[in-house]
Amino acid sequence: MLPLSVYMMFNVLLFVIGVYSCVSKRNLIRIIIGVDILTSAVNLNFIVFSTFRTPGLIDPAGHSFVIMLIALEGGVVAVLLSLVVFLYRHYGTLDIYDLVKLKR
Amino acid sequence: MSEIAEIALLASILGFALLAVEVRRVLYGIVLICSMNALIGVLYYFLASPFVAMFNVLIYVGALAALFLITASLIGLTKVLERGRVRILGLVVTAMVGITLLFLILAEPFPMFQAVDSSKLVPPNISEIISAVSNFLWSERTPDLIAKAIVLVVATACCVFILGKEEA
Repeated sequence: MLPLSVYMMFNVLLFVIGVYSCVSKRNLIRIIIGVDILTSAVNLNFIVFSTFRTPGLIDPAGHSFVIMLIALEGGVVAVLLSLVVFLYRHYGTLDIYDLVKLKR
Repeated sequence: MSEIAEIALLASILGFALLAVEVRRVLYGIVLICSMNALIGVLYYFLASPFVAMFNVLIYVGALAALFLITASLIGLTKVLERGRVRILGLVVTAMVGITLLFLILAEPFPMFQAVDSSKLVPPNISEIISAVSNFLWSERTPDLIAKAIVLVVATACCVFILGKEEA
């Protein structure tokens, strides 16, 4: 198995890709995809720490928290996607800059 | 799993994530994010987390993929092309976040391991892990029940909201 530091670097890279998507994209669906990547990186961090805490043993607390987080993430994405549908029906665009202009 | 296969799996996940963000058509991005989540499920399994892998595949690859596709079809797939981006600002912010996190990882020797009760650790055996996670979720069920209740209410509200009639 690869060492903990490799998994930490991997999680940071995944997190950074999510941040990049949230910050630099204008399409709302693309931003939700970025949030999805961010939460995947956080969940993986929990599992990695639970696996590498003591060699040969697993901490079930990390697994339980990740199960709760996955269920909550489903609810969060459902809310965000319903907001996307509502905004598109109302304003006819998914571009966040156009939405800001329309708000003004 | 051999280290080469592990590195290949990690590289594939990163590649799918990057492609999901950068590909031009949002529909392809949705397919790629589902592929990434499926590979993360495989990684969970190899990190001795079969219960989490099952949940990840069920929710991320099943339910969320269906939600994304339904949203894209309600909006109209041809209308959700990527139009433009704020590349410089995004790259600067991303680089700052990445450098800060890497600095924290390299500077700190992970002092968080003392916080957990050592008597609850289990060997990496699938049946024992599933049993321990189920026991933990049952004995600490208050936050889990609250979380599941929130998810149920939110999912119901969203279904009503999305399927409701459009305003005149």
